[in-house]
Amino acid sequence: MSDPELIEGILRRDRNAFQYLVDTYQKQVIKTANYFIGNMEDAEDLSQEIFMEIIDSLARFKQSSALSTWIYRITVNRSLNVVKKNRRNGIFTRIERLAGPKDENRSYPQGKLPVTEPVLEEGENRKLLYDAISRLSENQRVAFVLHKFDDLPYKEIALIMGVSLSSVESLIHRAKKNLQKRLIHHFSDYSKN
Amino acid sequence: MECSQVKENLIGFLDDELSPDQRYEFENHLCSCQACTALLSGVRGVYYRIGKERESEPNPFAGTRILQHIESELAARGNSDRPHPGWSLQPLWIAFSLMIAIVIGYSIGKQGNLNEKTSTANPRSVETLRSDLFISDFVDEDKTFFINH
Repeated sequence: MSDPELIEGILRRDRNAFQYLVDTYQKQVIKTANYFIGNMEDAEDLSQEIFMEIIDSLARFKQSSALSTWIYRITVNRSLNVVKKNRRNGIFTRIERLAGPKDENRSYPQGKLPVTEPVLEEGENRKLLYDAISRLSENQRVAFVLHKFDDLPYKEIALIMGVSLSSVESLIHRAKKNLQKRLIHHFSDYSKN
Repeated sequence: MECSQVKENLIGFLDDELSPDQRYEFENHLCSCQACTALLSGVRGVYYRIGKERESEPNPFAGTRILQHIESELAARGNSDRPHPGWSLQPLWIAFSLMIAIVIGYSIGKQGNLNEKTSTANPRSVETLRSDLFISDFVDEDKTFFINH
């Protein structure tokens, strides 16, 4: 089913069109929402609202870009809203939940760097990753997540974000530098303990 | 390559974005620097977690739930948008009720006027009624008292 056929079917409230829309885009929507929110169940719940928004606003879609690009845009905006809302409500600590309580007792001999590699649990690595990403500026975060997690080319990221190609390159470059700085800071502190 | 340069290029190394020369120097430095090796290992563990995140899949029934949500949402909207069958007749009902009220009011008013007219129009019939009911004329007892005493 082509994009125009799908759009027409959805506007007619055709059940087969809804089925096709969900089958085609559910993974894209849920996974992208998860990359921003950091919780798959919350992302699945949010995806229901995202699909309703897609259906409701499809009549306003001008088809100047691909439908998938437009769906990405809605997904990113809705996910960022959830992240902001969670922050406002002070429940952004879900990242803490991912790894459980931090092991404060982990330490290395005083004044010595860990000559062995710091072995972190998977949950702790995940927490660190999402924590570092959440500290990036919104634009850097969106560009970085779409590039590294969703594996989208710079051109499509530029379309989704409504910025130039060079801006996307710059945003991703700065996002990587900031992420690197934060992780080095973390592991430097880690090695001092 | 110095430790500071290694730190500058950690993610570049992990993303395979260094030139062959830079990569050689980077790896050469790691051979002789345990601190940088440990640092790289820590950063790699976190950064490569991105790949694992990409592998994570949503619940296989998520699509069914989304579809159910869409259908129930649209059905609920359809019900709330559709007017109640009796609602279309509502203006007629209001007009009919008003007309009935006006007619009743008019007839009650008319009945009242008729009663008033009949009560004042025929005084003789009142006299007849009084006599039929044995109602005597009012007697001032004080006056009769003085007359009797």
